[in-house]
Amino acid sequence: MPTEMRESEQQPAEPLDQLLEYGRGNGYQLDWLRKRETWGNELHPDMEHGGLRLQDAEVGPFGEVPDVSDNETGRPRGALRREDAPRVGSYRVKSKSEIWMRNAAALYEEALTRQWSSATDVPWETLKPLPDDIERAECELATFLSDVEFVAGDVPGRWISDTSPDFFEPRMFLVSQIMDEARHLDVFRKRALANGGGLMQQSRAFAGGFGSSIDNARDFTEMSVRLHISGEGLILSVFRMGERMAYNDAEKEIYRLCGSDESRHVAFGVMHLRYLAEAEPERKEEIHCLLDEVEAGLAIGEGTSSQNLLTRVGSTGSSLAVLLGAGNIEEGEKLAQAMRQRQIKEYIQRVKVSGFGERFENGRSGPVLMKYVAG
Amino acid sequence: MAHTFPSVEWFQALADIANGDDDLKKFGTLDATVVFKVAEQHYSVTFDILQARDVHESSADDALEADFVIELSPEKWQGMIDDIQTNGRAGRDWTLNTLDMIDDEPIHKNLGQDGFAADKFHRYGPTLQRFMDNSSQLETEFAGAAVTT
Repeated sequence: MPTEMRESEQQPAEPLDQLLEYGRGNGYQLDWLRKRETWGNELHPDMEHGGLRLQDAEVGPFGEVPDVSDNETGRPRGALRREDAPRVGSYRVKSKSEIWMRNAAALYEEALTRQWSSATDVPWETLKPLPDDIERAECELATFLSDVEFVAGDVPGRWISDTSPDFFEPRMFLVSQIMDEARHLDVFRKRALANGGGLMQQSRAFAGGFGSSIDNARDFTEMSVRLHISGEGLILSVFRMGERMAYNDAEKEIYRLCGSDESRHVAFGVMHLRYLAEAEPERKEEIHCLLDEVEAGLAIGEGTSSQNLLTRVGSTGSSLAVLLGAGNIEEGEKLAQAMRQRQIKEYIQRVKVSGFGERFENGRSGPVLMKYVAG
Repeated sequence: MAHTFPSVEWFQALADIANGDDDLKKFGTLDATVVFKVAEQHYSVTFDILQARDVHESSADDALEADFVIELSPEKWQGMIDDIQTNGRAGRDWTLNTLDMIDDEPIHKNLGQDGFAADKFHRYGPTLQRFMDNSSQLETEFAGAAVTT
């Protein structure tokens, strides 16, 4: 404890020297007892303002994030090296700009305080029997969302162990995201089964390879654009619209809580892309090319290759129309159309905040996308 | 005692309820200054971890510093509060989130174009909705209207 050490500092150095000498003469390695330069720099938790947060511990050498990490041994950032440490990590993500963002520690802390339980925080008792068409649509959508959330947890998981421990803040955020996605998977699975319907057929969009297009990303930023900016952004719009198509307080709470989680994940992607754009502007054209590809998939009604999973074709899109229209599919389709339009608008806003808004002004963004928004 | 909407007293009463509401706190911590805009009036509430503090009427310039501004027409504010009074919580057409979705423009925005701050509207959604739903506990009368809920 620092308090104890302050007491020891008041003592003459001689006893420590004697102890070290004793150790050398009797086979003990006690050099680690020597104080580091950081000794005595206490942290002062403000319990009225969030306690001792991760960002509060980013001080001195412990807060210094290298632009390029040579840490191959899993050494905690700021800890002293051991020359004999084995190279346990073969980290692909070694450059700060590849994964970094401002506010990662704050987002991680936010994630910790906003965990919830699908077992007890959803008022399942409000779930009542629904008309058959509505219940089947609920089950179809829940099947789709359970499928989506499996991918959304699986993909970032691959990148955690590939990232240098010097960039532990985004790593830990991704760990929290995986917990969130596991909870989303389980809550939609429970919803599908809770009223006696059960899981329906896997979405055509997934069977058509949407998930694998994210999973095949060769670079963290590419994965993040496909997953956080595009995929999760689109799902966030569904969760947000979910309150409108909820038939009871249980469903309303599910969508609301999932939306809160999902918006954190989207914020991670936006803030990472923004950092990359500022730190390595020479990579902007590469990212624009990636966004070209993403936007081609966002265009509506482009068949099984569409990244917009809510195209009107397919069971997922039509299940939304049934739910939004309370069985009146024509009315529901109008609302679904408005939702798709909002999805694209929100995507555009995210890309602008990320630092790539010029594509919507210089004609780079596809005419189909722009026409859709205008429409 | 009836509280007039909009007024500092009304938002302060809501903040007082929030500060004693364990069900609101379970949604997690916050770090945001939110301005509620009603016609040309601005009311600022700072959500600091688990407390709603510093409720005051602010200026349009102050709103530039807020994480986000929630703006509705007086009629929609009244519609929302009436619905909350009737149902004990906002029905599906009257949640902050739904109102943000259904019109051409969202009801929330960061006036300084700070997307990270504006996104707090979504990230703190369950807490903000609970904050507003607690108005079911307030006897409310609307300024300039005879309507009392």
